[in-house]
Amino acid sequence: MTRLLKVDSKNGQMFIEGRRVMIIPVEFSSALNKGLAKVVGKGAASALYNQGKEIGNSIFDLFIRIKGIEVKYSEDDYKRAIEDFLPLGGFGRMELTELDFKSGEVVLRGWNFPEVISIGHSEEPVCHLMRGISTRFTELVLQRPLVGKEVKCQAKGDEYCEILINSGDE
Amino acid sequence: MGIIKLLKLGRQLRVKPENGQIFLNDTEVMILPTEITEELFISLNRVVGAGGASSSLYIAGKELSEPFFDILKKMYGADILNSEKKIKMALEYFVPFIGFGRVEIIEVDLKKAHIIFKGQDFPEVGITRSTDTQACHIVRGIFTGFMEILTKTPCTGEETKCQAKGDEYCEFVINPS
Repeated sequence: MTRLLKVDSKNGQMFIEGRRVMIIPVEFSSALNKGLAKVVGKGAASALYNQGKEIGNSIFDLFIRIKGIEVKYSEDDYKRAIEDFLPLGGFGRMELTELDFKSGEVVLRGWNFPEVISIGHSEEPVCHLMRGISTRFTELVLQRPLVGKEVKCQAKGDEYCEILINSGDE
Repeated sequence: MGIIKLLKLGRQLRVKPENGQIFLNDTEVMILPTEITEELFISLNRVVGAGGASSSLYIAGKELSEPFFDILKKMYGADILNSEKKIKMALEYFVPFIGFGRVEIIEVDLKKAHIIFKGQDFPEVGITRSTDTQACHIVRGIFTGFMEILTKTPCTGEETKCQAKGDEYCEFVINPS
């Protein structure tokens, strides 16, 4: 993705496929978490998950622009978005473990998510933003509301992060 | 498009595709669409109101000042801390370099922990530029955090003008709390 960066140095802006982007430290997600925690307290995790879903829209749009794919997405497009595209933005590595388009059941594994890198150790899963982003990606592809839950997290000492996405309750 | 700046950026960005990681001068970074800042404010506003949203993002910006400052130190050396002239030069180059828009430092006085700067096209100004209030909470937080790091003094940042509400440029004043 860095090869696609076009810099407008006169105006201090950079673009990928016509969409303005910026470079931001991976601490962005933990910084948001701290900001939210001071305002909403324990609801920060859920708020951050919803933030992830919101920003997932524009990240997915960037993927569409780069790949030039159609509105009707295939399983292959989804796999490319998750496994090939997200790592290029510096979001860590992701692997699609299970995918059932009919039922909307998805299992994703991830390594080096920004929240793991910036938060370090935690007793609870920490990747709320990435959970939101990947859930929104899945919703956009499957065209239905879904819920993402992180069941394993590297910050807790697990070998990888694991996110289950389905139509169940949060 | 700025070819020279693109080359400089390309040299300093290191990509590890196998791990999904990008580094700018050894600090791990992400590339994000700027409109997420607008989306963050809109969705936070729904949950905690405009006041809660702006203070959440301001605090987040202050938290981000530390990793950003690490990149600055690696680019310009630790002695950036000692000179107002260097700080001015570094910030005016660095902010556009990472795609945050343009910055002009109007006044900086490290002894008084005081800075006034103006800017254009900050990410939070957004596409619509149609708010009634100031919008650049993350940027305000980042610069306030910078001043706190530089002066070791708790500071408060205020955005006195904002392009999002129709001003010609954004302007910020940072002083000791």
